[in-house]
Amino acid sequence: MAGRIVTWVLGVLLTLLYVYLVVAGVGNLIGLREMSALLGLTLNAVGWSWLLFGIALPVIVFAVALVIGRARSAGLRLLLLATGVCVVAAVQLEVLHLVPQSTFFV
Amino acid sequence: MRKKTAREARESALASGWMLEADPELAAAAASVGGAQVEPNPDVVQAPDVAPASTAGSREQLSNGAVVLLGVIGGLYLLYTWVWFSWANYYSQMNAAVAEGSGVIGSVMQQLVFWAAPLAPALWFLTAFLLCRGARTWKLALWLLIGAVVLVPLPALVITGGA
Repeated sequence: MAGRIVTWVLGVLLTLLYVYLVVAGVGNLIGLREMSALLGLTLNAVGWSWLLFGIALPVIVFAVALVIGRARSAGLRLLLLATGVCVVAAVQLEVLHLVPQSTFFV
Repeated sequence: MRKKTAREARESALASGWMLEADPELAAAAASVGGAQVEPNPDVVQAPDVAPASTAGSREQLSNGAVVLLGVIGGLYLLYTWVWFSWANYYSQMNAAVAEGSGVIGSVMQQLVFWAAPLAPALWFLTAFLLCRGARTWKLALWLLIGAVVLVPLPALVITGGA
């Protein structure tokens, strides 16, 4: 029973990280739109696609981790979720560094 | 056609130090008859008539290859970890400076996410290993190769102006 509680708590914490990633992605989208509006600019297709990618990636990875983890042990599922968070974090760092945000605006 | 003259390992007349190959079966026969031990050179390709032995050897080779593959990819992943670690360090410091005024929860979460990136290679390796424990070796190799592609630290390879 205690083991099950710990598993659920860890699972909820990992899920919260995914939720944070999505919320932060939405926040980036809204924030950059407001900022560009203040500057008299609009987001172009490149900007939209990168920001939407940032929102979609955690969702996709979360789903994939759950699908791969089906019919596996609880520990392995948690490991899969954790791996997914780390992969999303790595990809986000990559995007953050490689794509200059000045290309997001018209 | 193979010459059927009985040959034992002997010093070559071409160059001193070079050994001419002993015919394996003849050498074995000679060894069984005369008692003189002549080792066939393992470096030379085996004759086709010793096929059973060579297939047994190839199975051994496969698992050796898998071990080498695991070692190579593990080393690559370690290298990735190192690079990601340095980038996470850089960006977390930059973010901490920039986002001083923003909410506590958001900045803590963002720091967590930054520091999650260096863990990605290790976790991927572990996950792939555990998921493919009962499966074929090539499956594990495939997953590890996918990881090596997905997790390649592009910021270290491409020089840009930065964001």
